[in-house]
Amino acid sequence: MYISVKDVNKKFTQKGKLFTALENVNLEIERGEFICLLGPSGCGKSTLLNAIAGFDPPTSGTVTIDGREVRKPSSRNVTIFQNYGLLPWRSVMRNVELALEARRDISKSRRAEIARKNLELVGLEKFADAGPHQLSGGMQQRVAIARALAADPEIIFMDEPFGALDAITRMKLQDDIRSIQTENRKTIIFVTHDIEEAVYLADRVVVMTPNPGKVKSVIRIELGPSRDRASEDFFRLREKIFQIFCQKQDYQIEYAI
Amino acid sequence: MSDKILRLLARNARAAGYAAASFLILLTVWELAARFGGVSPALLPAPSAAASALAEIASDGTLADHIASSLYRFAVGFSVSVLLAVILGVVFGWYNPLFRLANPVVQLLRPISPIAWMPFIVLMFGIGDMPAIVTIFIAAVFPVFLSAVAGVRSIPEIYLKVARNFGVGPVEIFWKIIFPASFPQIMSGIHLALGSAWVFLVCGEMIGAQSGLGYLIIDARNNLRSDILVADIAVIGLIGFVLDSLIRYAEGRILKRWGLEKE
Repeated sequence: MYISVKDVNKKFTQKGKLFTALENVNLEIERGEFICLLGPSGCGKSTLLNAIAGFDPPTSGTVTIDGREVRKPSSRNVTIFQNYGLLPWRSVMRNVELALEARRDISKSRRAEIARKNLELVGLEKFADAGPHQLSGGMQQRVAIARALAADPEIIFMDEPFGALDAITRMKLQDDIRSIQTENRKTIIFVTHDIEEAVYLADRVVVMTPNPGKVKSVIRIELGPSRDRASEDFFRLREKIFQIFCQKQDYQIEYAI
Repeated sequence: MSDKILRLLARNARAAGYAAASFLILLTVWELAARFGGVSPALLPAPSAAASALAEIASDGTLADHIASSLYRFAVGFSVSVLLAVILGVVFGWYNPLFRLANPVVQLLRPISPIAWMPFIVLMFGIGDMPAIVTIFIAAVFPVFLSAVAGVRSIPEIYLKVARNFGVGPVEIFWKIIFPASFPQIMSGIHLALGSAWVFLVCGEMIGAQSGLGYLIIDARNNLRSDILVADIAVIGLIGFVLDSLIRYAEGRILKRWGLEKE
């Protein structure tokens, strides 16, 4: 198995109280799979992502990628964040180039060439010299995607990447990320709290519930590569996942006011 | 577009109008007080007298010489101070134990006026350029150091995550991430320090120098030329204002580039 999460627990102390963010999580992911970690806030989906990406290792249990245990982030796996993580003091082009600056085997001119190619891929080559803040949120996230692709990673981690975008832009970027994934066969692990987004994107949806954060069930989405948000199968799967959340509501729903 | 320019012009014209009125009121009250206040012109020279004194020292070249020596000292003292304070601030801000070790002493030294060190400074460096340079150095070093530390400590975590993700090394991270990410806050510290450094330049020159705008104050006093004194004070204020405007402009550009612009 390509990525393997075994008996992972993660505990924090928060305001003097011990808080279990993840309890006994087990998960196996194959190379080239598109996985969505789905659940309400506090279910540990981002914590799980951070553990697999190596930013924040688990308290107990192991995460292995390609047989090697993950202890710190690797430039072979790139994370895309909700608030983009672009460096405002660099131009769009130089932001994309950051992905390759640590690579000694790539010359400066080759680096610029790769960066330009990836900016073209997301349709932003005209904005190469602009500052990130001159771009809209959706465009900034596309720069972050271009930067991730420039590193030619094996795995792309996405932490609610479209959460701050408006609905239309979000749908456009969902299509973009799907076509990128089918073309390059990257392994993608994608965190979201949006059921429809998960059903639209994933090969498998990992449904998580909070208090303590654990995996409730894993659902295979057999809708094929071209998906229709209005099809009957789509509704049925969305409904099925919704039912899983409703089955047993032994936790308080959080209202953001 | 032309609408926008017109609006901008109108706003600037209004601001200029207020500024002109503000100075006009000051000069009128001052002139009236000098003429009809019954005070000796040696104690309160009229603005017209100050203006002719300004013309006098400007035309014989003494003013330009004094400005040149003051600006030279300011440039040296301030740039050395900022350079050192930024480097130390960034490093100390990054390595927390280092800062915790330095902070108590910094907090003790910070409230001491640079002028208090003057006797030592004059004994160590003699009379000349150095006392003023050292005074400016002391005046600027603490605010810039502390703003750099605060800037580094408040770097958004996401930049550091991105740096780790793309394998930015432990040394490179200083000039690729830490310094630029804290730059806006460092810049506001530099802005703050610039004002007080200019204030202390004049103090430093009043005590330990034979030239410069601060020295000119003492010189004018010794020669009972209060008109020159007032002219000099006006020049000091004007240069301070220009320096502040320049750094404010630079700071604005940086905030804009970093996307932190207010309004």
